[in-house]
Amino acid sequence: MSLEIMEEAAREVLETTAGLTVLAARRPAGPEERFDGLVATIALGGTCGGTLVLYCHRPVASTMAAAMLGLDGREPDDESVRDALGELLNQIGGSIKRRLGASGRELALSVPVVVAGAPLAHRVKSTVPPVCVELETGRGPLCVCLWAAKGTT
Amino acid sequence: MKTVLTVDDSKVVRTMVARHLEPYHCRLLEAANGEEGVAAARAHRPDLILLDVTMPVMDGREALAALRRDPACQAIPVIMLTAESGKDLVLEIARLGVTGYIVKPFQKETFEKEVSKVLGPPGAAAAADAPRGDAPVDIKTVLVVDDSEKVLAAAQAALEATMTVVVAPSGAEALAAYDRARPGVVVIDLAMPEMDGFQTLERLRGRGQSAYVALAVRGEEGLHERARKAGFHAVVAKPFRANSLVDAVIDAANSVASPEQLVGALFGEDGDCPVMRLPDPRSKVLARVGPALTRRLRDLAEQGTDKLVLDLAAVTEITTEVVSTLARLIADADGIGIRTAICAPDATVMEKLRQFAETKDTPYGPSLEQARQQLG
Repeated sequence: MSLEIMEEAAREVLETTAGLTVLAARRPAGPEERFDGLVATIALGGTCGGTLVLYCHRPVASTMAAAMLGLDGREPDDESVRDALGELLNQIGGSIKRRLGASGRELALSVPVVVAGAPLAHRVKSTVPPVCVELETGRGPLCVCLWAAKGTT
Repeated sequence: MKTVLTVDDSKVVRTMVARHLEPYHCRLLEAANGEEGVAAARAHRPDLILLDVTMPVMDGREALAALRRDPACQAIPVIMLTAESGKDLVLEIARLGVTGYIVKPFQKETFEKEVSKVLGPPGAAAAADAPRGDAPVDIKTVLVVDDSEKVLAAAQAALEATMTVVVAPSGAEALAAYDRARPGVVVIDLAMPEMDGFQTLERLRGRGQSAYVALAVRGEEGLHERARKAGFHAVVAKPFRANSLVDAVIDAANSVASPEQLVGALFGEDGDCPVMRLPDPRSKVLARVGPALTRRLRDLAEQGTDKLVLDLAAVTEITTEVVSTLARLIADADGIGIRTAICAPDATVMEKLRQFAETKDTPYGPSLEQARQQLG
């Protein structure tokens, strides 16, 4: 899967649903240790299967959840923050799927799982290095990584 | 009012949908998976179902198939609201029969275009169905919103002797309950799931000129202060004493009532005799009703009334304000041919009134019936 597709999908979702403006994007080799707050994960099945992961810090996740809920500056509770992060990753996965579908490749998405805590060392077991895109939003960075399953493209 | 059922495993999405549906002024139902969604559709027969695909327990495809198999639900319009848009999936869903398909992330315009196919344009729905923000409210009705059945029961028990009580177990259900009851006062728990007290207040504000009382956990002064700043008339700490809640609700009702409404709430009847209940002087009601009270007395006289009982059951302290109000009432009534008697269940109240020239000769009885008998 191309990094462009991941970046476009993440941009679309963050700007449309979470009300963030993506200021810049970079492509690190993997998720950095500094993302120690929240991790959302969904499993992908199909020709581009693997594990799609969204990393971010608690304040950014809180900002996104507040925007989605229309809280006008008030703090969302932890459950809402986790729920919002899972939904955002679900939408990013859906957006990737739609873009891949245009080139005839199918993808199936699982229900998202979100874990929180610091320090949090999250790694996906894979023999293939991840494909990652980090987005700077002005409210802090987020990182989307895909660990492709063995034998997928 | 139309009913919309949102089926999505994400509370955040359900809340977002509720916000987008606000202009449609509809009753909202929610379900967290396909199984709950099908059950809710069978129970409530909504006008529209917004259905996610990827959900635990029962996904959207299975739920849609179950709805289409059920004769009672097969005609309900369903719009898919999902991040899933694979070709095979869309074809499968189209075969089952859907009214629309909204792909997440979605823009407001896309959402409205699809939803309006079923609910009509948002403005039209609101104009036809929604009560206007300036439509009158009933100051004798209170709506209590709390997700705890125990709190709702306690509030109902405390308030039902004074007000007509309507309850709602969530912010979403409070919107429809408000439109039906038009309460003068809404008591809202601040810590409700999905739509908290602040969000509920925001949604209700434009619907009418009601007063709002917050229920908040005792000791959280920061939260209480935030509630006052947000526009709550008063904050009652939980667990609450019945009197605290009643006092706060009556004070809130008085704050939004017109002078005519306040006067109307003060008058009743005992047998064929009009009774005016003198309010607690601390409520400041008397300061707002002077001319309206005079008009009411004239109306009574024009209707042929020649007697009036002044009920002091709510008066626990004789202040100069109470005495001057009573003196004015007695004199005004006398001037238009209405004789008055005082009902004071508390004997010490009457003892004190006997010390004032303005009230010492007024007929008196400790009960309404005895006071009425003084007037013949």
